[in-house]
Amino acid sequence: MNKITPVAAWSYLVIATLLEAALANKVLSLNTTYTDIAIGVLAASQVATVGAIYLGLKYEPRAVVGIAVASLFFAVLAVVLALGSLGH
Amino acid sequence: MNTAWLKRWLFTTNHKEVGILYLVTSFFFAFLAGILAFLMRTQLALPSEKFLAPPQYNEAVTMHGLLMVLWFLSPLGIAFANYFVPLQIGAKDVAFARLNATSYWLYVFAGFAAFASFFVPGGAPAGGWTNYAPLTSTQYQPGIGETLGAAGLIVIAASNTVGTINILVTILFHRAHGVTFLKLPMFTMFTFWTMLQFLWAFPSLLAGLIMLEADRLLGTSFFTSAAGGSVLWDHVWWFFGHPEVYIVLLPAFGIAAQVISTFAGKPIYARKPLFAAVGIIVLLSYMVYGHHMFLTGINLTEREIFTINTETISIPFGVLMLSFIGTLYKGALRLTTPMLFALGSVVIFVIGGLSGVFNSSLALDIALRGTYFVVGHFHYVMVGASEFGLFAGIYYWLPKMTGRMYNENLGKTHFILSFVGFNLLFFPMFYLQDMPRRIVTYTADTGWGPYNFLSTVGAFIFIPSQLLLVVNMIMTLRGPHAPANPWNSTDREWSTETTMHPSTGLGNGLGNGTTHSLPEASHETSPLSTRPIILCLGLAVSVAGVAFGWPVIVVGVLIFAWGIGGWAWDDYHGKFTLPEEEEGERWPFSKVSKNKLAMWTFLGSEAVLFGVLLGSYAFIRLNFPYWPPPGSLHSITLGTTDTILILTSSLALYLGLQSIRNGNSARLIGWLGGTFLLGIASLAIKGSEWYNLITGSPTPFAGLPESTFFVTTGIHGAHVLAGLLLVLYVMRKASAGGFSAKNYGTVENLNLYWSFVSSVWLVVFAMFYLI
Repeated sequence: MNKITPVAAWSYLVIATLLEAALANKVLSLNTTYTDIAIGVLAASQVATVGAIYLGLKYEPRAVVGIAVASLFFAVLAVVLALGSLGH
Repeated sequence: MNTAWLKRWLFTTNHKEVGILYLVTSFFFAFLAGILAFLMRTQLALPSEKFLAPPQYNEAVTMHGLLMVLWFLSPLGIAFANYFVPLQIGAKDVAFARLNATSYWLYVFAGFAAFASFFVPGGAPAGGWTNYAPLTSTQYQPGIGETLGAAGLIVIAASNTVGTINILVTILFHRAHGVTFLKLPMFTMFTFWTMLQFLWAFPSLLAGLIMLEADRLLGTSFFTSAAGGSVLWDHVWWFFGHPEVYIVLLPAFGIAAQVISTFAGKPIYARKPLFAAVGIIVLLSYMVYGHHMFLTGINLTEREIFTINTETISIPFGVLMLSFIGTLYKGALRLTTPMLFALGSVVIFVIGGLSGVFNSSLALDIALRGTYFVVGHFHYVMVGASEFGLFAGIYYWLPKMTGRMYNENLGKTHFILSFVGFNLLFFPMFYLQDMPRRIVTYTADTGWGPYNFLSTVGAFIFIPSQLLLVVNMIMTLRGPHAPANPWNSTDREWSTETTMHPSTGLGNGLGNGTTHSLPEASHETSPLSTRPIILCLGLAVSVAGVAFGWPVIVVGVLIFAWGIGGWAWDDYHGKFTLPEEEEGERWPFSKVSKNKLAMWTFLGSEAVLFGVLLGSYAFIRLNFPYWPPPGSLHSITLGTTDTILILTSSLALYLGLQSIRNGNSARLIGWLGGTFLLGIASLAIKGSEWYNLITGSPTPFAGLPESTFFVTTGIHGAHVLAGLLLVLYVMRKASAGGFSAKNYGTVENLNLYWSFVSSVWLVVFAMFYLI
């Protein structure tokens, strides 16, 4: 990896963080649902960026990516099954 | 007294000796659990019995279940994994010898902590082995026993995580040439899948216990509020608890597969479908747990999904049974003791499995869930099938472990008494479909008396008959010498030489497989290390200290620091080294280092830990109508600043890693210094937020928004703190020239850990501060 990539990733992460904060502060006057969705998408993109660059998943063998994806799957599964039980 | 003998057992890191320690210790805990079972069955033998007072009965039920599942059945499988996985795959030892001893000592001290709860004010945990909320709250269990018991569970969760990573990496990284995945011996193959279950199930238990202890000690309200409460606990518990059923079952089936194959004189039938079926069981085991919650009123659609999933899991189990039957078909059967126990395991499982199909039905489960029918069902599956399979393993491998033969007649007597006693003990429970579980007594007019009496007679046959096994094992130590391969097995472990260890007197088969060759002496002098036992004692004392107060915690932390400091010192000075493994089969991780694979595996379990914590937060929040809007409880500005600090620290560490890849130690130290300072700044911000929340309210932990914030950011903060200590260690090592362009694995792993912690924070930031 060249030296620019991690710095570029960091720049994106910081900008996304500031954008999230701006959204939460209602700078864009979106309604709550859209704001939350936008923040969620930005946060997911940030996690993906950290995963790809700093955790190095972009450069790791598929098997390592497999461990990460499988673990994420079970983490998300726990959340989905718990939240899915709400309501009648 | 022979101190060399004692030192060898206390400080050993040898996989076989650790395996034997696990085996013996699991029997010790089984003995305790068995006594409790005796007490329970005596109480229920006759109507209106007053042998035990209700609180004592509840404690006996709870601790019996916990000890049996977590301190006997699971560890017995781990004992065999320790001893035989390296032999079966042709490895010299497990991947991380000291970690192996660490997982064992954590297990021991966890058990002591949990069992000690009987002797503290308030008595032992009494909410059932499932620790159902709110029975575990301070309202119902105000004494410190429940706190101590939960602390024991936390420590054993840590033990299992450490052990899991070790055995997984061993299987993935230390296979000899020719031992490809599809050629794994049956026991190792089943162990591999079991370890994956350990990896993703136990973090859920750990997360639940952390929240439970927070409720009990800090006054948070995860499981005492309407928004979280018992349903949240059920989710957290059963996401761990149902896979745990298979965690105790699958190693036993791995043994059964191997034993049946050996004594039928045929290779296992449908090997590849069997491999796939076990994988499918592992996957589905996380998706069926909701059938334990059919009575809780969860969403109907989800209940239907859980019904379908539960019925579906019977298909791969059917494949297992067909494989076993296919192996037996037209085989030259030899009904030795291990074979009898293996067949007993399968028969008992079929009865238990068929009764389980009833419970998968939403409609039937509503009628049966809270009754003794379920007690019968899960004892058939979890206890009978597992225990018989594991006992098959003991008899099968005793000649390998001791170099001597056991008494066959005594073994068969043990089997007959066990099989008769077990069925007499649990089969009558299927007729008690109207007897509620967990009741301390009943009246004669219920008609439950005869079944309960039969059941107690069964217990009085089944439990004492296990002493025959112990007697047989002891007699074996002085029994006739065993041939090298008494069963004419084709499995790899029998192709290795069995020798007597000079100090332990037990068999210490070299286990180098057929393709690895290691001089006998080098294996038998595997290094001793005092660090694991000290470290584990410190960790257990500090965690158990939450029940006793700060002085105990401080003492524990000091002991832990002594242990971990010594460990780091050993590493720093190269005092603990193991012979390098020859490179064998490493697919699909041939391009990944062993330490890096271990770190990724660890992060996998961490992902589930944080997933459950954040999921619990989301669950509570969606259930709670008065959640403060963003910016009102937590400052968005502070959160944003904190996030930028953490992200910048990640960049700094990553640039440090790049520096050392280029061979520049000085720059690495500089970047690590930056990471450290940024991490400290982040913790300072967190501290200020905590201070403001704590000083801003007379009951700072009581509210749900506060509860979730304190626990989630607290756990995250603890991870940051641990990372900072690692940064200091790496800086010290770097300053002594410990890293180079070709040797930077520790820095790489630190970067992985730190980046993971940063990525978790990004989710925490969005969920707690912004949405």
